[in-house]
Amino acid sequence: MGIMRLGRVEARVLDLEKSIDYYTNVIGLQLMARENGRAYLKAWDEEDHHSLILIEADHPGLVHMAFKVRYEHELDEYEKALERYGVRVNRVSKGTRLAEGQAIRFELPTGHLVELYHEIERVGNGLKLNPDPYPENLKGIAPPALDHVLITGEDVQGATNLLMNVFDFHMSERVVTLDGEQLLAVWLFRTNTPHDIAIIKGPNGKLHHFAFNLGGWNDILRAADCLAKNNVAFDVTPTRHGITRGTTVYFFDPSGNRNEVFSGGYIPCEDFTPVTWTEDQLAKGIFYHLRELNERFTAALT
Amino acid sequence: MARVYRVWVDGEERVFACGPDQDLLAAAVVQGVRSIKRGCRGGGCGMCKVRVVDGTYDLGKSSVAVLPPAEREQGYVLACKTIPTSDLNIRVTKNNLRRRDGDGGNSDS
Ligand code: FES
Ligand SMILES: [Fe+2]
Repeated sequence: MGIMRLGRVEARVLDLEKSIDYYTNVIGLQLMARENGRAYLKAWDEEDHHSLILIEADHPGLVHMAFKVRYEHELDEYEKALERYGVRVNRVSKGTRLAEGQAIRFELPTGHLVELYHEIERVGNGLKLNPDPYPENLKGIAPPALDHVLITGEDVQGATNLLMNVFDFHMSERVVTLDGEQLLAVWLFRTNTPHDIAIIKGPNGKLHHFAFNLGGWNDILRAADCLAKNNVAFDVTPTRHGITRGTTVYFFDPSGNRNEVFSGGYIPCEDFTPVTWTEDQLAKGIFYHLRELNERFTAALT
Repeated sequence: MARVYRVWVDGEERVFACGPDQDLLAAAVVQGVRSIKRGCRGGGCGMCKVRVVDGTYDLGKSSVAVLPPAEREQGYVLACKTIPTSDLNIRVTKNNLRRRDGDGGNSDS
């Protein structure tokens, strides 16, 4: 019931051809279709038609993120719930984008566009009858799936309240001021991963990164090798997060959108007690080994 | 055309070489010129913005959100998207990041 996962991210890129080359050959996603200036891609283990949409624009960043709900009728219920909460909701009609049914769209207090949808063409992963563990001919990093998104905005508390109250997101971790008064960052989940969406205090409407998941530490190291081989710009080489306990690599797509490959972390359930970090320990939370925040990590946003 | 150009960093008494088809930022980073900030290397974040005071260059696709047309006319560039076509004289201004976004899109304070 309700939101099942982060289903898709639509990102602006400066050069569609270069970006398709990067996302298919280096990240190793499958190009499913191109139509009306958009490219639709999916990771190999995903069953829906696409999880990443690229569109060319004069500046990079996030067009929208969308969460998939379990049942179509829940769109009506969430539309009403959002309106009761004081949020304006628009309908996105079927056929607006390829392979998608209708969606409801609203804006978070941080200025980001969010959609909820249920219907999308099911193409499958081809691994449902006496299958092998993964398909043949994977390219590049080849993550199995999209994992989470991290956005920045001023009203972290407002966005958190909305997501928790209307959609029953659960909090895995948070960063607060030393006096505990103000919420500076939050990690929220609907799946049993440590986060489906995270929000950090910063300029409104900006993308910090979107992430793909990987199986383990060896895959993280191999991903970094693949990035280096392809001269991709690194932000942070393989390390561990204090927050979520996951392992990670941060890097940039050809338009400067930050990507991450993320692995591990604990498996939270709905009754998980949130972990709290105080702002003076943020560096330990983000980069558990080095414990230094670099300017790039906080300032490079799209 | 494929030759190495010299890049003067104004006020730093620093010269570095920029090879054929090498962007300004890549050249600065490998030669230890740290005053040009290294961000996304993709023309998207604006951290590497500098002003070309003298010289000619090609500017690749750069985000208008961090490098609006008016700034381009004044010689501002994103170093990661700039390929010199002559020797260059560039200026790194402290305010680059602060200027780069109408919405206060930075947290370098
Ligand atoms: S480093 Fe991001 S725009 Fe050049
Ligand atoms: Fe992340």
